[in-house]
Amino acid sequence: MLYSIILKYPSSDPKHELFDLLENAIAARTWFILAHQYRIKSLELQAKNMIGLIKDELGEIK
Amino acid sequence: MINFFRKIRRKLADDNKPLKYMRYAIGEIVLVVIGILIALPINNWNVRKQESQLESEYLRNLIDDLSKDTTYFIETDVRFDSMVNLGENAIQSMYSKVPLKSKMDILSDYWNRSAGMLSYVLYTATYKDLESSGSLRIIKNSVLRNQIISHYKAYEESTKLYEIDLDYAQSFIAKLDNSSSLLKFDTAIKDKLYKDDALLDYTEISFF
Repeated sequence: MLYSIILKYPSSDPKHELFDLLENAIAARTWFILAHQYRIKSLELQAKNMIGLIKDELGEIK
Repeated sequence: MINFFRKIRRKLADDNKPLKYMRYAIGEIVLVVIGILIALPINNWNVRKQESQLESEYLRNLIDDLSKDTTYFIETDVRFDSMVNLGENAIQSMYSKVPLKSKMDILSDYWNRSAGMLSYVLYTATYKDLESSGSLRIIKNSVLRNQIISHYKAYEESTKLYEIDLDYAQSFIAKLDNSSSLLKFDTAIKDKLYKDDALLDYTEISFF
């Protein structure tokens, strides 16, 4: 995909729509990554906490 | 044992002494009741023991699932950090005057690596089994049970948000795909581009 853009607009207008689209696509993916990263960090803490609680419970069951 | 009681019963019946027979009958009923009262706690204890074993098994499986999830979260976090850096590099490279081939390599590398990591798989088999079989109640500690339910609700919520965000992020890429679809990538042209030293050395290409 990237090559096709290069070939279609080899050295023309740097402010072309495709240029903006490419930058927006990277920015959108980065935004998606950051949003998802924030959530999984929270879930990671929760999961670790749950493991601790369940291990405590297993200790009590034994 | 049964024969022993039968003989006594027959003897008492033959003696034709109703009061004595009644006394014996009440004694036999009391014996049966005592037997039932002993058997019930034993049965309850056995059921509790089985449930406790099943609870331990489910809890151990939940720990396995959560450990796998934790590993996935940690690995994904590291990969995300590197992808954010790669994205920044990719955008910077579009404006820089590095050789064309380098720009293309950076952008392609970013695109391929970031596309491959957009999966979100959590280990929820044990919880789903607990939920669908109605076995959540075997987790006797109600506080723990509610925390487990809340945790997996948070998973569900995060999956929904992930899908919404992904659709949104992909919509930009779809626009890019549509805009560049007029000229499809051609391997022969790519090879020519790479082999053309003049073109590769042409760092004044302002678009890439």
